[in-house]
Amino acid sequence: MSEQMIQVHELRRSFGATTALDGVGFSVAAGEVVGLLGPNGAGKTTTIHCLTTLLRPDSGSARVAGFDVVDQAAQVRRSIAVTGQFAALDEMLTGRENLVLFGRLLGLDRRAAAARADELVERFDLGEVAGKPVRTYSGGLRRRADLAASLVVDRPVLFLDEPTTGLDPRSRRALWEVVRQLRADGTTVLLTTQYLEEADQLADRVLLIDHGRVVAEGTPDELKGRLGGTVCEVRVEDPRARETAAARLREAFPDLTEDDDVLRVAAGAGTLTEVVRRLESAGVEADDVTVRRPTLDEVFLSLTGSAAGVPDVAGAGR
Amino acid sequence: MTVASPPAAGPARQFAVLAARNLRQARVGRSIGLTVVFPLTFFAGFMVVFHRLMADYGIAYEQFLPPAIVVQTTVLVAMSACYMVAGDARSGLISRYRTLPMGAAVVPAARLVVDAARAAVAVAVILVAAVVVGFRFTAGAAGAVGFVLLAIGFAVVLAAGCAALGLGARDPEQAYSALTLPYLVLTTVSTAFVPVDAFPGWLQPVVRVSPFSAQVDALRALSTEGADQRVWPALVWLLVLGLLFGFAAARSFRRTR
Repeated sequence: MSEQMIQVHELRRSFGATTALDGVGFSVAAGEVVGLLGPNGAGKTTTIHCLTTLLRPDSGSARVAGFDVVDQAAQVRRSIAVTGQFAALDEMLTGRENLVLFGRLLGLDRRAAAARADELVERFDLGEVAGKPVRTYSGGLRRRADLAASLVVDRPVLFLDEPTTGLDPRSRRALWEVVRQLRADGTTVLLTTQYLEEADQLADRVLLIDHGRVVAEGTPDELKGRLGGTVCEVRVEDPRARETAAARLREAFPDLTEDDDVLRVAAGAGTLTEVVRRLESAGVEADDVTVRRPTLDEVFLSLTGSAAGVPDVAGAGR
Repeated sequence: MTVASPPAAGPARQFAVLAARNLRQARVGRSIGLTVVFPLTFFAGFMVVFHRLMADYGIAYEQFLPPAIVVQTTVLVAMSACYMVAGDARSGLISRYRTLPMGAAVVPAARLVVDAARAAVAVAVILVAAVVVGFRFTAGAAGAVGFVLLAIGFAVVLAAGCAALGLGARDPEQAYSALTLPYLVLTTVSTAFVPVDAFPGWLQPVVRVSPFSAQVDALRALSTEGADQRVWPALVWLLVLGLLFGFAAARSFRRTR
Protein backbone atom coordinates (compact mmCIF):
# COMPACT_ATOMS: atom_id res chain seq x y z
CA MET A 1 0.00 0.00 0.00
CA SER A 2 1.88 3.03 -1.17
CA GLU A 3 -1.13 5.26 -1.68
CA GLN A 4 -0.62 8.60 0.11
CA MET A 5 -3.57 9.42 2.34
CA ILE A 6 -2.21 12.74 3.55
CA GLN A 7 0.03 14.96 1.45
CA VAL A 8 1.14 18.28 2.84
CA HIS A 9 3.25 20.61 0.75
CA GLU A 10 4.85 23.88 1.89
CA LEU A 11 1.92 24.78 4.11
CA ARG A 12 2.08 28.28 5.57
CA ARG A 13 -0.21 30.06 7.95
CA SER A 14 0.20 33.17 10.08
CA PHE A 15 -1.92 34.71 12.79
CA GLY A 16 -1.11 38.40 12.63
CA ALA A 17 2.60 38.68 13.27
CA THR A 18 2.90 35.11 14.51
CA THR A 19 3.94 32.50 11.98
CA ALA A 20 2.32 29.24 13.03
CA LEU A 21 3.19 27.19 9.94
CA ASP A 22 6.31 28.01 7.99
CA GLY A 23 6.30 25.63 5.07
CA VAL A 24 5.41 22.40 6.81
CA GLY A 25 5.46 19.40 4.49
CA PHE A 26 5.09 15.64 4.86
CA SER A 27 3.06 12.73 3.66
CA VAL A 28 1.35 9.80 5.30
CA ALA A 29 0.79 6.51 3.50
CA ALA A 30 -2.45 4.56 3.71
CA GLY A 31 -2.59 2.51 6.89
CA GLU A 32 0.28 4.34 8.52
CA VAL A 33 0.20 5.79 12.03
CA VAL A 34 2.24 8.97 12.14
CA GLY A 35 3.00 11.03 15.22
CA LEU A 36 3.40 14.79 15.04
CA LEU A 37 5.63 15.79 17.89
CA GLY A 38 6.68 19.29 18.83
CA PRO A 39 7.17 21.82 21.60
CA ASN A 40 4.89 24.69 22.54
CA GLY A 41 3.46 26.52 19.56
CA ALA A 42 5.38 24.39 17.09
CA GLY A 43 2.37 24.28 14.80
CA LYS A 44 0.97 20.82 15.51
CA THR A 45 -2.59 21.87 16.20
CA THR A 46 -2.56 24.46 13.42
CA THR A 47 -1.52 21.69 11.03
CA ILE A 48 -4.43 19.53 12.18
CA HIS A 49 -6.81 22.48 11.89
CA CYS A 50 -5.74 23.00 8.27
CA LEU A 51 -6.03 19.32 7.41
CA THR A 52 -9.50 19.02 8.98
CA THR A 53 -10.82 22.07 7.06
CA LEU A 54 -11.21 24.20 10.18
CA LEU A 55 -8.55 26.62 9.06
CA ARG A 56 -7.54 27.89 5.65
CA PRO A 57 -3.81 27.91 4.95
CA ASP A 58 -2.28 31.14 3.63
CA SER A 59 -0.30 29.23 1.01
CA GLY A 60 0.87 25.78 0.14
CA SER A 61 -1.40 22.82 -0.42
CA ALA A 62 -2.65 19.79 1.39
CA ARG A 63 -4.61 16.77 0.25
CA VAL A 64 -6.42 14.35 2.50
CA ALA A 65 -7.67 11.07 1.00
CA GLY A 66 -6.83 12.60 -2.36
CA PHE A 67 -8.95 15.73 -1.89
CA ASP A 68 -7.69 19.27 -1.61
CA VAL A 69 -8.46 20.68 1.86
CA VAL A 70 -9.47 24.07 0.46
CA ASP A 71 -11.12 23.37 -2.89
CA GLN A 72 -12.65 20.02 -1.96
CA ALA A 73 -13.35 20.62 1.71
CA ALA A 74 -16.73 18.86 1.55
CA GLN A 75 -15.15 15.66 0.22
CA VAL A 76 -12.40 15.87 2.83
CA ARG A 77 -15.04 16.06 5.56
CA ARG A 78 -16.57 12.87 4.22
CA SER A 79 -13.25 11.10 4.55
CA ILE A 80 -12.07 12.07 8.01
CA ALA A 81 -12.76 11.48 11.66
CA VAL A 82 -11.48 14.02 14.15
CA THR A 83 -10.84 13.78 17.85
CA GLY A 84 -9.26 16.68 19.60
CA GLN A 85 -9.55 19.04 22.46
CA PHE A 86 -11.00 21.59 20.07
CA ALA A 87 -13.77 19.30 18.82
CA ALA A 88 -15.98 18.08 21.58
CA LEU A 89 -19.25 16.44 22.47
CA ASP A 90 -22.56 17.85 23.54
CA GLU A 91 -22.18 18.33 27.27
CA MET A 92 -25.90 18.27 27.88
CA LEU A 93 -26.54 14.90 26.25
CA THR A 94 -25.54 11.53 27.66
CA GLY A 95 -22.65 9.65 26.13
CA ARG A 96 -24.96 7.31 24.30
CA GLU A 97 -27.18 10.15 23.06
CA ASN A 98 -24.11 11.83 21.64
CA LEU A 99 -23.20 8.70 19.73
CA VAL A 100 -26.74 8.49 18.35
CA LEU A 101 -26.73 12.21 17.49
CA PHE A 102 -23.53 11.97 15.46
CA GLY A 103 -24.64 8.71 13.87
CA ARG A 104 -27.85 10.39 12.72
CA LEU A 105 -25.99 13.46 11.45
CA LEU A 106 -23.70 11.17 9.48
CA GLY A 107 -26.51 9.38 7.74
CA LEU A 108 -27.39 6.36 9.86
CA ASP A 109 -31.10 5.81 10.30
CA ARG A 110 -32.56 5.73 13.79
CA ARG A 111 -32.20 1.99 14.24
CA ALA A 112 -28.68 1.79 12.80
CA ALA A 113 -27.54 4.75 14.89
CA ALA A 114 -28.84 3.11 18.05
CA ALA A 115 -27.19 -0.21 17.21
CA ARG A 116 -23.91 1.49 16.42
CA ALA A 117 -24.07 3.48 19.66
CA ASP A 118 -24.53 0.28 21.67
CA GLU A 119 -21.62 -1.30 19.87
CA LEU A 120 -19.34 1.65 20.65
CA VAL A 121 -20.48 1.84 24.27
CA GLU A 122 -19.44 -1.78 24.56
CA ARG A 123 -16.15 -1.38 22.72
CA PHE A 124 -15.07 1.72 24.65
CA ASP A 125 -16.21 0.34 27.97
CA LEU A 126 -18.68 3.17 28.55
CA GLY A 127 -21.47 0.95 29.78
CA GLU A 128 -21.74 2.35 33.30
CA VAL A 129 -21.80 5.97 32.28
CA ALA A 130 -23.47 5.80 28.87
CA GLY A 131 -26.71 7.07 30.40
CA LYS A 132 -25.16 10.05 32.18
CA PRO A 133 -24.64 13.54 30.74
CA VAL A 134 -21.17 14.08 29.29
CA ARG A 135 -20.62 17.13 31.50
CA THR A 136 -20.36 14.77 34.49
CA TYR A 137 -17.57 12.72 32.87
CA SER A 138 -13.99 12.61 34.07
CA GLY A 139 -11.21 13.52 31.65
CA GLY A 140 -10.48 9.94 30.67
CA LEU A 141 -14.11 9.05 30.11
CA ARG A 142 -14.67 12.15 28.09
CA ARG A 143 -11.75 11.38 25.81
CA ARG A 144 -12.96 7.83 25.32
CA ALA A 145 -16.46 9.02 24.51
CA ASP A 146 -14.99 11.63 22.21
CA LEU A 147 -13.01 9.06 20.28
CA ALA A 148 -16.04 6.79 20.14
CA ALA A 149 -18.06 9.63 18.62
CA SER A 150 -15.42 10.09 15.92
CA LEU A 151 -15.71 6.45 14.99
CA VAL A 152 -19.48 6.32 14.60
CA VAL A 153 -18.94 5.74 10.90
CA ASP A 154 -15.76 4.29 9.43
CA ARG A 155 -13.49 6.85 7.86
CA PRO A 156 -10.21 6.13 6.12
CA VAL A 157 -8.31 8.90 7.93
CA LEU A 158 -8.36 9.66 11.64
CA PHE A 159 -6.90 12.78 13.23
CA LEU A 160 -6.12 12.64 16.92
CA ASP A 161 -5.09 15.89 18.54
CA GLU A 162 -3.35 15.16 21.84
CA PRO A 163 -5.62 12.21 22.56
CA THR A 164 -4.27 11.42 26.02
CA THR A 165 -3.18 14.80 27.38
CA GLY A 166 -4.09 14.97 31.04
CA LEU A 167 -5.15 11.35 31.32
CA ASP A 168 -4.11 8.91 34.01
CA PRO A 169 -1.84 6.04 32.88
CA ARG A 170 -4.63 3.49 32.83
CA SER A 171 -6.90 5.57 30.60
CA ARG A 172 -3.94 6.37 28.41
CA ARG A 173 -3.17 2.72 27.88
CA ALA A 174 -6.80 1.99 27.10
CA LEU A 175 -6.75 4.68 24.41
CA TRP A 176 -3.50 3.38 22.98
CA GLU A 177 -5.11 -0.03 22.65
CA VAL A 178 -7.91 1.49 20.61
CA VAL A 179 -5.46 3.25 18.31
CA ARG A 180 -3.59 -0.01 17.77
CA GLN A 181 -6.84 -1.73 16.87
CA LEU A 182 -7.61 1.02 14.40
CA ARG A 183 -4.25 0.57 12.80
CA ALA A 184 -4.89 -3.13 12.57
CA ASP A 185 -8.13 -2.28 10.74
CA GLY A 186 -6.16 -0.26 8.22
CA THR A 187 -7.12 3.23 9.34
CA THR A 188 -4.59 5.94 8.58
CA VAL A 189 -3.89 7.93 11.74
CA LEU A 190 -2.19 11.28 12.22
CA LEU A 191 -1.79 12.08 15.89
CA THR A 192 -0.22 14.96 17.72
CA THR A 193 1.17 14.41 21.14
CA GLN A 194 3.25 16.07 23.76
CA TYR A 195 4.23 12.66 25.12
CA LEU A 196 7.31 11.25 23.50
CA GLU A 197 6.48 7.90 24.98
CA GLU A 198 3.16 8.00 23.21
CA ALA A 199 4.78 8.59 19.83
CA ASP A 200 7.24 5.83 20.63
CA GLN A 201 4.42 3.43 21.52
CA LEU A 202 1.98 4.16 18.73
CA ALA A 203 3.63 5.73 15.73
CA ASP A 204 5.19 3.92 12.80
CA ARG A 205 6.87 7.17 12.00
CA VAL A 206 7.47 10.37 13.93
CA LEU A 207 7.63 13.89 12.53
CA LEU A 208 9.42 16.35 14.74
CA ILE A 209 7.96 19.78 14.18
CA ASP A 210 9.37 23.06 15.40
CA HIS A 211 8.63 26.67 14.44
CA GLY A 212 6.10 25.51 11.87
CA ARG A 213 8.47 23.21 9.99
CA VAL A 214 9.28 19.53 10.05
CA VAL A 215 12.81 19.36 11.43
CA ALA A 216 13.27 15.59 11.44
CA GLU A 217 11.39 12.47 10.59
CA GLY A 218 11.88 8.77 10.88
CA THR A 219 10.85 5.78 12.93
CA PRO A 220 11.31 6.29 16.66
CA ASP A 221 14.34 4.00 16.50
CA GLU A 222 15.92 5.89 13.61
CA LEU A 223 15.54 9.16 15.44
CA LYS A 224 17.10 7.77 18.58
CA GLY A 225 19.88 6.32 16.46
CA ARG A 226 20.80 9.82 15.35
CA LEU A 227 22.10 10.59 18.78
CA GLY A 228 24.61 7.81 18.34
CA GLY A 229 23.57 4.73 20.15
CA THR A 230 23.64 3.62 23.72
CA VAL A 231 25.13 5.50 26.64
CA CYS A 232 26.33 4.43 30.05
CA GLU A 233 25.47 6.83 32.87
CA VAL A 234 26.99 6.95 36.31
CA ARG A 235 25.32 9.06 38.95
CA VAL A 236 27.44 10.15 41.87
CA GLU A 237 25.92 12.69 44.21
CA ASP A 238 28.98 13.47 46.30
CA PRO A 239 31.02 16.08 44.32
CA ARG A 240 34.43 14.91 45.50
CA ALA A 241 33.72 11.28 44.80
CA ARG A 242 32.36 12.31 41.42
CA GLU A 243 35.61 14.12 40.62
CA THR A 244 37.60 11.04 41.52
CA ALA A 245 35.35 8.82 39.45
CA ALA A 246 35.50 11.19 36.47
CA ALA A 247 39.28 11.22 36.53
CA ARG A 248 39.45 7.44 36.68
CA LEU A 249 36.86 6.88 33.95
CA ARG A 250 38.34 9.46 31.62
CA GLU A 251 41.51 7.38 31.36
CA ALA A 252 39.51 4.71 29.54
CA PHE A 253 36.76 6.90 28.08
CA PRO A 254 38.12 10.21 26.83
CA ASP A 255 34.65 11.16 25.48
CA LEU A 256 33.23 11.38 29.01
CA THR A 257 30.77 14.20 29.57
CA GLU A 258 29.39 15.59 32.82
CA ASP A 259 25.82 16.72 33.32
CA ASP A 260 25.00 17.80 36.87
CA ASP A 261 25.76 14.72 38.97
CA VAL A 262 25.78 12.35 36.01
CA LEU A 263 28.85 11.15 34.13
CA ARG A 264 28.08 9.87 30.66
CA VAL A 265 30.10 7.78 28.22
CA ALA A 266 29.25 6.10 24.93
CA ALA A 267 28.57 2.44 25.60
CA GLY A 268 29.72 -0.55 23.61
CA ALA A 269 30.37 -4.21 24.44
CA GLY A 270 32.02 -4.51 27.83
CA THR A 271 31.63 -0.86 28.76
CA LEU A 272 29.50 -1.55 31.81
CA THR A 273 31.98 -4.06 33.27
CA GLU A 274 34.87 -1.69 32.65
CA VAL A 275 33.01 1.23 34.28
CA VAL A 276 32.07 -0.78 37.35
CA ARG A 277 35.64 -2.15 37.69
CA ARG A 278 37.15 1.34 37.52
CA LEU A 279 34.67 2.76 40.03
CA GLU A 280 35.53 -0.05 42.44
CA SER A 281 39.27 0.44 42.10
CA ALA A 282 38.81 4.16 42.67
CA GLY A 283 36.81 3.39 45.79
CA VAL A 284 33.80 5.34 44.57
CA GLU A 285 30.32 4.13 45.42
CA ALA A 286 28.03 5.28 42.62
CA ASP A 287 24.43 6.12 43.43
CA ASP A 288 23.30 4.68 40.12
CA VAL A 289 24.81 3.05 37.06
CA THR A 290 22.69 2.53 33.97
CA VAL A 291 23.07 1.63 30.33
CA ARG A 292 20.35 2.97 28.10
CA ARG A 293 19.43 4.18 24.67
CA PRO A 294 18.75 7.89 24.30
CA THR A 295 15.13 8.90 24.78
CA LEU A 296 13.12 10.74 22.18
CA ASP A 297 13.27 13.60 24.67
CA GLU A 298 16.98 13.87 24.14
CA VAL A 299 16.61 13.61 20.39
CA PHE A 300 14.14 16.40 20.64
CA LEU A 301 16.36 18.57 22.71
CA SER A 302 19.29 18.09 20.40
CA LEU A 303 17.27 18.86 17.30
CA THR A 304 15.14 21.76 18.46
CA GLY A 305 17.08 23.22 21.34
CA SER A 306 13.95 23.19 23.47
CA ALA A 307 12.31 20.54 25.54
CA ALA A 308 9.04 18.93 24.62
CA GLY A 309 6.60 17.63 27.16
CA VAL A 310 4.93 20.96 27.93
CA PRO A 311 1.31 21.47 26.86
CA ASP A 312 1.00 23.04 23.45
CA VAL A 313 -0.26 26.58 23.99
CA ALA A 314 -1.78 26.97 20.56
CA GLY A 315 -3.60 23.69 21.04
CA ALA A 316 -4.95 24.62 24.42
CA GLY A 317 -6.81 27.65 23.14
CA ARG A 318 -10.25 26.85 21.89
CA MET B 1 -12.65 -1.16 7.17
CA THR B 2 -15.43 -3.68 7.15
CA VAL B 3 -18.35 -1.27 7.01
CA ALA B 4 -18.59 1.11 4.10
CA SER B 5 -19.18 4.72 5.13
CA PRO B 6 -22.80 5.65 4.59
CA PRO B 7 -23.39 8.79 2.58
CA ALA B 8 -23.79 11.71 4.95
CA ALA B 9 -27.36 12.48 5.89
CA GLY B 10 -29.15 14.95 3.65
CA PRO B 11 -29.54 18.52 4.89
CA ALA B 12 -33.21 17.98 5.78
CA ARG B 13 -32.36 15.07 8.08
CA GLN B 14 -29.43 16.92 9.64
CA PHE B 15 -31.66 19.93 10.18
CA ALA B 16 -34.32 17.84 11.92
CA VAL B 17 -31.78 16.06 14.13
CA LEU B 18 -30.11 19.31 15.18
CA ALA B 19 -33.40 21.14 15.69
CA ALA B 20 -34.54 18.39 18.04
CA ARG B 21 -31.26 18.70 19.90
CA ASN B 22 -31.56 22.50 20.16
CA LEU B 23 -35.12 22.22 21.38
CA ARG B 24 -33.93 19.96 24.13
CA GLN B 25 -31.15 22.40 25.00
CA ALA B 26 -33.79 25.13 25.32
CA ARG B 27 -35.92 22.97 27.61
CA VAL B 28 -33.02 21.82 29.76
CA GLY B 29 -31.77 25.39 30.11
CA ARG B 30 -35.29 26.62 31.01
CA SER B 31 -34.57 29.37 28.53
CA ILE B 32 -38.24 30.16 27.91
CA GLY B 33 -38.86 30.78 31.60
CA LEU B 34 -35.91 33.12 31.75
CA THR B 35 -36.92 35.05 28.67
CA VAL B 36 -40.45 35.53 30.04
CA VAL B 37 -39.91 36.19 33.74
CA PHE B 38 -38.03 39.46 33.27
CA PRO B 39 -40.52 41.00 30.83
CA LEU B 40 -43.44 39.88 33.00
CA THR B 41 -41.90 41.49 36.06
CA PHE B 42 -41.28 44.60 34.03
CA PHE B 43 -44.84 44.53 32.80
CA ALA B 44 -46.28 44.26 36.30
CA GLY B 45 -44.02 47.01 37.65
CA PHE B 46 -44.71 49.45 34.85
CA MET B 47 -48.43 48.83 35.03
CA VAL B 48 -48.51 49.55 38.75
CA VAL B 49 -46.35 52.66 38.54
CA PHE B 50 -47.46 54.31 35.31
CA HIS B 51 -50.97 53.10 34.65
CA ARG B 52 -52.75 55.97 36.37
CA LEU B 53 -50.21 58.56 35.31
CA MET B 54 -50.59 57.59 31.64
CA ALA B 55 -54.37 57.56 32.01
CA ASP B 56 -54.14 61.25 33.00
CA TYR B 57 -52.49 61.87 29.62
CA GLY B 58 -55.19 59.92 27.86
CA ILE B 59 -53.17 56.78 27.21
CA ALA B 60 -54.66 53.39 28.03
CA TYR B 61 -51.47 51.82 29.30
CA GLU B 62 -52.88 48.28 29.37
CA GLN B 63 -53.25 48.64 25.60
CA PHE B 64 -50.10 50.69 25.03
CA LEU B 65 -47.57 48.67 27.02
CA PRO B 66 -48.01 44.98 25.98
CA PRO B 67 -46.51 45.42 22.47
CA ALA B 68 -43.40 46.87 24.16
CA ILE B 69 -43.23 43.91 26.52
CA VAL B 70 -43.58 41.57 23.54
CA VAL B 71 -40.63 43.29 21.85
CA GLN B 72 -38.69 42.94 25.07
CA THR B 73 -39.32 39.22 25.31
CA THR B 74 -38.46 38.61 21.65
CA VAL B 75 -35.16 40.46 22.07
CA LEU B 76 -34.37 38.35 25.12
CA VAL B 77 -35.13 35.19 23.13
CA ALA B 78 -32.64 36.36 20.51
CA MET B 79 -30.02 37.24 23.10
CA SER B 80 -30.29 33.85 24.77
CA ALA B 81 -29.69 32.30 21.34
CA CYS B 82 -26.33 34.05 21.36
CA TYR B 83 -25.64 32.60 24.78
CA MET B 84 -26.48 29.05 23.72
CA VAL B 85 -24.51 29.23 20.48
CA ALA B 86 -21.50 30.71 22.24
CA GLY B 87 -21.69 27.91 24.79
CA ASP B 88 -21.68 25.31 22.01
CA ALA B 89 -18.79 27.11 20.35
CA ARG B 90 -16.80 27.17 23.56
CA SER B 91 -17.38 23.52 24.39
CA GLY B 92 -16.03 22.56 20.95
CA LEU B 93 -19.32 21.13 19.70
CA ILE B 94 -19.48 23.66 16.85
CA SER B 95 -15.94 22.77 15.82
CA ARG B 96 -16.95 19.15 15.61
CA TYR B 97 -19.93 20.08 13.45
CA ARG B 98 -17.50 21.97 11.26
CA THR B 99 -15.42 18.86 10.62
CA LEU B 100 -18.52 16.90 9.60
CA PRO B 101 -20.03 16.87 6.13
CA MET B 102 -22.86 19.31 6.87
CA GLY B 103 -24.56 21.90 4.71
CA ALA B 104 -23.48 25.43 5.57
CA ALA B 105 -27.01 26.51 6.43
CA VAL B 106 -27.96 23.50 8.56
CA VAL B 107 -26.52 24.65 11.88
CA PRO B 108 -27.89 28.23 11.70
CA ALA B 109 -31.27 27.05 10.39
CA ALA B 110 -31.68 24.47 13.15
CA ARG B 111 -30.87 27.22 15.61
CA LEU B 112 -33.39 29.70 14.19
CA VAL B 113 -36.32 27.33 13.91
CA VAL B 114 -36.02 26.60 17.61
CA ASP B 115 -35.70 30.30 18.36
CA ALA B 116 -38.92 30.85 16.43
CA ALA B 117 -40.65 28.24 18.58
CA ARG B 118 -39.26 29.76 21.75
CA ALA B 119 -40.41 33.19 20.63
CA ALA B 120 -43.90 31.85 19.91
CA VAL B 121 -44.23 30.44 23.41
CA ALA B 122 -42.81 33.56 25.04
CA VAL B 123 -45.14 35.85 23.07
CA ALA B 124 -48.13 33.66 23.96
CA VAL B 125 -47.30 33.89 27.66
CA ILE B 126 -46.98 37.68 27.53
CA LEU B 127 -50.25 38.00 25.59
CA VAL B 128 -52.13 35.92 28.13
CA ALA B 129 -50.85 38.16 30.91
CA ALA B 130 -51.74 41.23 28.86
CA VAL B 131 -55.27 40.06 28.21
CA VAL B 132 -55.73 39.48 31.93
CA VAL B 133 -55.06 43.16 32.65
CA GLY B 134 -57.30 44.38 29.83
CA PHE B 135 -55.31 44.25 26.59
CA ARG B 136 -57.48 43.47 23.55
CA PHE B 137 -56.97 42.83 19.83
CA THR B 138 -59.52 45.35 18.59
CA ALA B 139 -58.63 44.85 14.91
CA GLY B 140 -59.78 41.25 14.80
CA ALA B 141 -58.15 37.93 14.08
CA ALA B 142 -56.12 39.04 11.06
CA GLY B 143 -54.47 41.74 13.12
CA ALA B 144 -53.77 39.29 15.92
CA VAL B 145 -52.17 36.79 13.55
CA GLY B 146 -50.11 39.55 11.96
CA PHE B 147 -49.07 40.70 15.43
CA VAL B 148 -47.79 37.27 16.42
CA LEU B 149 -46.04 36.63 13.09
CA LEU B 150 -44.31 40.00 13.15
CA ALA B 151 -43.18 39.44 16.74
CA ILE B 152 -41.75 36.01 15.89
CA GLY B 153 -40.15 37.35 12.72
CA PHE B 154 -38.42 40.06 14.71
CA ALA B 155 -37.13 37.47 17.19
CA VAL B 156 -35.78 35.24 14.41
CA VAL B 157 -34.03 38.07 12.57
CA LEU B 158 -32.37 39.31 15.75
CA ALA B 159 -31.52 35.73 16.73
CA ALA B 160 -29.71 35.30 13.40
CA GLY B 161 -27.51 38.27 14.24
CA CYS B 162 -27.01 37.05 17.79
CA ALA B 163 -26.15 33.53 16.61
CA ALA B 164 -23.55 34.91 14.20
CA LEU B 165 -22.08 36.87 17.08
CA GLY B 166 -22.21 33.83 19.37
CA LEU B 167 -20.43 31.61 16.83
CA GLY B 168 -17.50 33.99 16.80
CA ALA B 169 -17.49 34.51 20.56
CA ARG B 170 -15.24 32.66 22.95
CA ASP B 171 -17.13 33.34 26.13
CA PRO B 172 -20.94 33.03 26.39
CA GLU B 173 -21.22 35.33 29.44
CA GLN B 174 -19.15 37.99 27.74
CA ALA B 175 -21.07 37.77 24.48
CA TYR B 176 -24.37 38.00 26.32
CA SER B 177 -23.36 40.97 28.43
CA ALA B 178 -21.99 42.71 25.33
CA LEU B 179 -25.56 42.64 24.01
CA THR B 180 -27.13 43.97 27.20
CA LEU B 181 -26.11 47.59 26.71
CA PRO B 182 -27.42 47.99 23.13
CA TYR B 183 -30.56 46.19 24.26
CA LEU B 184 -31.17 48.65 27.11
CA VAL B 185 -30.41 51.68 24.97
CA LEU B 186 -32.52 50.51 22.05
CA THR B 187 -35.55 49.67 24.20
CA THR B 188 -35.49 52.87 26.27
CA VAL B 189 -34.69 55.20 23.34
CA SER B 190 -37.76 54.04 21.46
CA THR B 191 -41.51 54.38 21.65
CA ALA B 192 -41.70 51.22 23.75
CA PHE B 193 -42.66 52.82 27.06
CA VAL B 194 -43.59 56.41 26.24
CA PRO B 195 -44.82 58.12 23.05
CA VAL B 196 -42.26 59.88 20.88
CA ASP B 197 -43.27 63.40 21.97
CA ALA B 198 -42.27 62.57 25.53
CA PHE B 199 -38.62 62.65 24.43
CA PRO B 200 -36.56 65.88 24.23
CA GLY B 201 -36.67 67.42 20.77
CA TRP B 202 -33.10 66.53 19.79
CA LEU B 203 -33.68 62.86 20.60
CA GLN B 204 -36.99 62.52 18.78
CA PRO B 205 -35.45 61.86 15.30
CA VAL B 206 -33.42 59.02 16.79
CA VAL B 207 -36.50 57.57 18.45
CA ARG B 208 -38.42 57.83 15.18
CA VAL B 209 -35.94 55.85 13.07
CA SER B 210 -35.19 53.22 15.70
CA PRO B 211 -35.99 49.68 14.55
CA PHE B 212 -37.40 49.04 18.01
CA SER B 213 -39.82 51.97 17.64
CA ALA B 214 -40.82 50.65 14.22
CA GLN B 215 -41.48 47.22 15.69
CA VAL B 216 -43.44 48.49 18.70
CA ASP B 217 -45.49 50.91 16.58
CA ALA B 218 -46.33 48.20 14.07
CA LEU B 219 -47.41 45.82 16.83
CA ARG B 220 -49.57 48.60 18.33
CA ALA B 221 -51.17 49.20 14.95
CA LEU B 222 -51.88 45.52 14.43
CA SER B 223 -53.48 45.20 17.85
CA THR B 224 -55.68 48.28 17.51
CA GLU B 225 -56.56 49.61 14.05
CA GLY B 226 -55.10 46.72 12.04
CA ALA B 227 -52.46 46.80 9.32
CA ASP B 228 -51.92 50.43 8.30
CA GLN B 229 -48.97 52.55 7.19
CA ARG B 230 -47.33 52.08 10.61
CA VAL B 231 -46.54 48.47 9.70
CA TRP B 232 -44.30 49.34 6.75
CA PRO B 233 -41.25 50.63 8.63
CA ALA B 234 -41.20 47.43 10.68
CA LEU B 235 -41.35 45.30 7.55
CA VAL B 236 -38.57 47.27 5.91
CA TRP B 237 -36.42 46.89 9.01
CA LEU B 238 -37.22 43.19 9.13
CA LEU B 239 -36.13 42.77 5.52
CA VAL B 240 -32.93 44.77 5.90
CA LEU B 241 -31.87 43.17 9.17
CA GLY B 242 -32.99 39.77 7.89
CA LEU B 243 -30.69 40.00 4.86
CA LEU B 244 -27.80 41.35 6.89
CA PHE B 245 -28.02 38.98 9.83
CA GLY B 246 -29.10 36.03 7.71
CA PHE B 247 -26.00 36.41 5.60
CA ALA B 248 -23.83 36.82 8.70
CA ALA B 249 -25.31 33.69 10.31
CA ALA B 250 -24.97 31.53 7.20
CA ARG B 251 -21.41 32.70 6.70
CA SER B 252 -20.31 32.38 10.29
CA PHE B 253 -20.67 28.60 10.38
CA ARG B 254 -18.56 27.79 7.36
CA ARG B 255 -16.21 30.70 7.80
CA THR B 256 -12.70 29.28 7.72
CA ARG B 257 -10.58 31.64 9.71
